[in-house]
Amino acid sequence: MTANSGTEVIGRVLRLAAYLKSRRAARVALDDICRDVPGYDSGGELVRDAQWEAVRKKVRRDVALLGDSFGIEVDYDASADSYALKPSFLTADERDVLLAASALVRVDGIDDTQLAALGSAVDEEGRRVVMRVHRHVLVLRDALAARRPVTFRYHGQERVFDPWAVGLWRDRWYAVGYAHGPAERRVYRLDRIEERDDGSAIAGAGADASYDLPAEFDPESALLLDPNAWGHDPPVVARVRVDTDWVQPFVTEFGGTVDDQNDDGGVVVLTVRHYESFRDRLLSFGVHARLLEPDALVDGLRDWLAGMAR
Amino acid sequence: MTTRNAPERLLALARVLALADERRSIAVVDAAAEVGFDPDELRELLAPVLFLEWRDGDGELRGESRAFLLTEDGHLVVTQEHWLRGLAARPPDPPTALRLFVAGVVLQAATSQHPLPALDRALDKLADVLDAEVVVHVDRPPFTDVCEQATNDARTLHVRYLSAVHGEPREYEIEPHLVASRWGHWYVLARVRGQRDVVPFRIDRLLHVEPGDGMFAPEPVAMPEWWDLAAHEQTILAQLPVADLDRVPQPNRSVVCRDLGAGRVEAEITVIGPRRMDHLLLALGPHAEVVWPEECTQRRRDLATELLARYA
Repeated sequence: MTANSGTEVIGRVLRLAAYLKSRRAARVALDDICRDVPGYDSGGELVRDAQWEAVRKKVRRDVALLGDSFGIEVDYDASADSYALKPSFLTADERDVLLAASALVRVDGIDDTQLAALGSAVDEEGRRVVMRVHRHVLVLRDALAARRPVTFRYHGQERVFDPWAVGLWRDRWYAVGYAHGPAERRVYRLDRIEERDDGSAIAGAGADASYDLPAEFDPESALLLDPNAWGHDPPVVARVRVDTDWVQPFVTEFGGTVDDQNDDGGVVVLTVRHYESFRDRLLSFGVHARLLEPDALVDGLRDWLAGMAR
Repeated sequence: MTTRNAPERLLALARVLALADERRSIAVVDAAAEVGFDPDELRELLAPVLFLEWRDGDGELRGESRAFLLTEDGHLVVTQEHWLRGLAARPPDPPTALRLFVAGVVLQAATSQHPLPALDRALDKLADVLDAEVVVHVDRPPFTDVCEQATNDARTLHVRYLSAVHGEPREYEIEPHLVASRWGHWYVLARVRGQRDVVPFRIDRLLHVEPGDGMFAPEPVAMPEWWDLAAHEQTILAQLPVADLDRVPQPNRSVVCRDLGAGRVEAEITVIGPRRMDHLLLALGPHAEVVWPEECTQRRRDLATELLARYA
């Protein structure tokens, strides 16, 4: 094919798209296309012969080109022998707002496979937010969409796992689902999945459609991974005296409500469901946070400190 | 001139029009380099886009020549809607859908005070493409909006800031030039009044923020790709149960040096700054032993003793 003939094809294909857009409300027949769109001229009235078939194939090829290059899809109704544009995936305002999001946010870790994908060409310099998608996310998404179990090594052990959801929490990606070995729900941090010697990490471990998500499963809450949200210790209400400067960071870290606030600080009241994680995080506030209640947690903290003080 | 087939030329054209659409304008020579075409070849390729003609149902000649413009100085400009993109019915593939979804969720968090219905609809459509439960929790610290407002107004801020390096709060008056986020943390890049350099302040470590009266001339500052914090790294050698490595406060860098048997290991653990080191020393707990350096062994005893005294 010469460069000129390639340009002719492009002109014809684009005219076809523009024509179908202008006739969006109506279906058009092959005769209409031949009559109205330069490049499909048959030189007269079409009859169903070899020439008609050649033009029909030409339109079919051009429609495929429009789909592959611009994502434009044309519906062909064989019974009526007519063509019409399929509805757009995104409306103009939806496209604009996703472009705005792409102009604001750079997403690392994903290679666009579609050359002209929306948001792939925005200017890098304006992007003020950088997010990171772990390389295992797409593999797990594929498995999850197919309801296909996977296997991987984690803390030195081979795991077989039905992924129920993947998600980002505090800049780390996790998968929550059903672990076959212990036969219980588990959460795995994706950056702790170990590479095997051959460089692979996650592999399929069963057929598609092998499992269903439990009816009561709520992915949003399952991926709120604060131990105080998912911990299994008997819930207790804790009261913590926090110095003024540290009240906001404390509430950001733990949640809870502020009671008795004065110039020196406040008392934060919160429910604790994971004693160990609560103690470890409380220690990050040093002398600026003092646990008041409950006695059981205070005693545990005192023992912990005494073990290191001697 | 190279010979390329129609599908290759159409894909290149789609990419070039996307570049023009998303940057509003692009030099033909730059666009040609982007798709590996000769500029003259690209100009020829663009000709049909710049002017198209066909007949409507009544036989009247119609044209499409307003969407794209090739200027005299060789720039391709999108003057109206990129109509070819507007016709796209094919959903994005899963990698593209995930990228757009993550970016959209961030924008959704940033505009939560004034929700954008079009964004909500677009995210629903992308979620359908992903066809899987993908949840993106985006944290936006409380003072982010105040910092953005001050940046837009070119007005100073009085802040009380807890540096991870220094470990104790300090007060500054800052000129905020840019609010940006890297990998889950929000920063305001600002110059402390009277200082020369623009430095990052992590917004979740701003303990108190108040608008100031000072004005300043905004400067174009860029978010660094990373910060070299090596000078503030502190390392200990500790012996601890291997399972406790998962409990070590984040962020840290830990390397197991040797297996001590009975489920214990010796590990080198590195954190940034004295405040994180103090937290690490206390969180390791009584089952761990800090074997090096000696001053950290003593520091741990002192910290535990000081805290314990508050519970006497």
